[in-house]
Amino acid sequence: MTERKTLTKKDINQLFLRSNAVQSAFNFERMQAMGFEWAMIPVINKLYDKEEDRIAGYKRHLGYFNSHPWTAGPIFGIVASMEEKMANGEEISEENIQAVKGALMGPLAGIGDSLLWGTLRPIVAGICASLALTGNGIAPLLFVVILNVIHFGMQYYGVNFGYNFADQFMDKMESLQIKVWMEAATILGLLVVGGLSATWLNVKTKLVYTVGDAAIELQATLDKILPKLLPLVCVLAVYGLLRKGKSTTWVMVAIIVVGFILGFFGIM
Amino acid sequence: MNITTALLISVITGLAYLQRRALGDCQLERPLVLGPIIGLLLNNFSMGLQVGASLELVFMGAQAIGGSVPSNVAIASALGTTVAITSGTGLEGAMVVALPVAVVASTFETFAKAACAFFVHAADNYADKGDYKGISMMVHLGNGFHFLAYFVPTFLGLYFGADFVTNLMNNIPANIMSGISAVGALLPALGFGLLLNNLSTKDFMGYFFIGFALAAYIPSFGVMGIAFLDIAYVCVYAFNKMNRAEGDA
Repeated sequence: MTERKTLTKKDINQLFLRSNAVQSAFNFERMQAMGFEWAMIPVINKLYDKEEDRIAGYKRHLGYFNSHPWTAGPIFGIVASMEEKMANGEEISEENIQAVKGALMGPLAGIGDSLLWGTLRPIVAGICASLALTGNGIAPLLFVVILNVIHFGMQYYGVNFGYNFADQFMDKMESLQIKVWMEAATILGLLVVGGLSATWLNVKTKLVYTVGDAAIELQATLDKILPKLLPLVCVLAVYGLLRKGKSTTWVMVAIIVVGFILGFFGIM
Repeated sequence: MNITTALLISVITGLAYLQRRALGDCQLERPLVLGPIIGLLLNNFSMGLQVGASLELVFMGAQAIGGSVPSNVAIASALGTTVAITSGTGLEGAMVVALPVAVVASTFETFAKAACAFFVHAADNYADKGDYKGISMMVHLGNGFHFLAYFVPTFLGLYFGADFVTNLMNNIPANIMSGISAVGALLPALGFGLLLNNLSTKDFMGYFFIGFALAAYIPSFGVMGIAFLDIAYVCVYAFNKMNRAEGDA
């Protein structure tokens, strides 16, 4: 009976540090495979003594991987925990490990894209950009600090949580709590995008029309109907075009052409 | 533009991107961050800050989802901010440069992502031999390649293009300028529309209009006040829903 191989606190810390490089050498063929591999190398080296086991380990983690750089932490922890079990002869197969990677990377990326890129970053960016526009030089620093305290906090906690609670993680992912908070994040995101559209979209018309002898500014009339009517129309138009399947670049070019014409002729 | 400044800005832009690869994406390549840094370098911090914040609103919705290549925000911000300051035209100058650059420069990142498939195959070979140092080397080389994909175009753009565009900007007629500023005013709609498109589901779409109406009718709330209110509401929503679900069970 040989001694049980275990990963120490130091190994997990190293895994956390290296897991931040998950997007390394990003490529279209296997996406974040190189980054995942680089994080797992020390784990493999620590757990397996035999050359053939190490080679199998290196090859295992060079497969397709694509998740979100801020939310993939638990996957590293769980996989490390599974590798540890496998190295000690417990009933874990290579397929099990691949299955867990495959099953978790999509949902965690989804959380990252909607919750972080789609909600958190626009909120923080909106607030900090507003501060910066009033001349506050600390705003960019605030932007970086707020986001990265959350970023590295999540990653550190995620890797450790994944390693320590590998068995329960799948249940927790499917739990009601996660689902409700995802829903809540979507609602928050929509509220914020609505607020940002009304605050930071400065679309106004310069058109003036005459009724009898009086010249009336069209914008003043519009403001009586609904303040920020034009910004709302613009955002909904973009949304509609994207829904119809127009590409981002297509919409961007359309905005540039239309905007330029409106500005050139003094309509906007 | 002199070669030292051009090199310095290009290295900063390359590093700002490299951290997305090697440091977990700390958001350092956002215009809000790059703008003021370049402003500092060019001795006009306040304009860098203004331009960066404005470009941030324009590019707010641009994000990389599932490995797709979005518009190249970092190179666009670097070149845009530089021209804004050297020509003294501010946001309008930044726009003229940043928009086409954002689209064109995205091809460099695409190229790097395609080319890095080579390093994966090389890593496969090292893995077969059990040579983990070789694998690590391929990871670093791949990152180096990604760095160059931002560094080289930024440098070429600054060194060969900045003066030309600056001269051009100084001779632009007024109505073309107002056309450009109208584009600048309209463009944040793209970011907001993209976010809306990512978030919207039929069940929740109404919340967009609630958020809009709050800000449109009560401007004195400010972005901070609205964020505060929104977060409070969402907590009430989530806790209530969980309590109710527990009651059912």
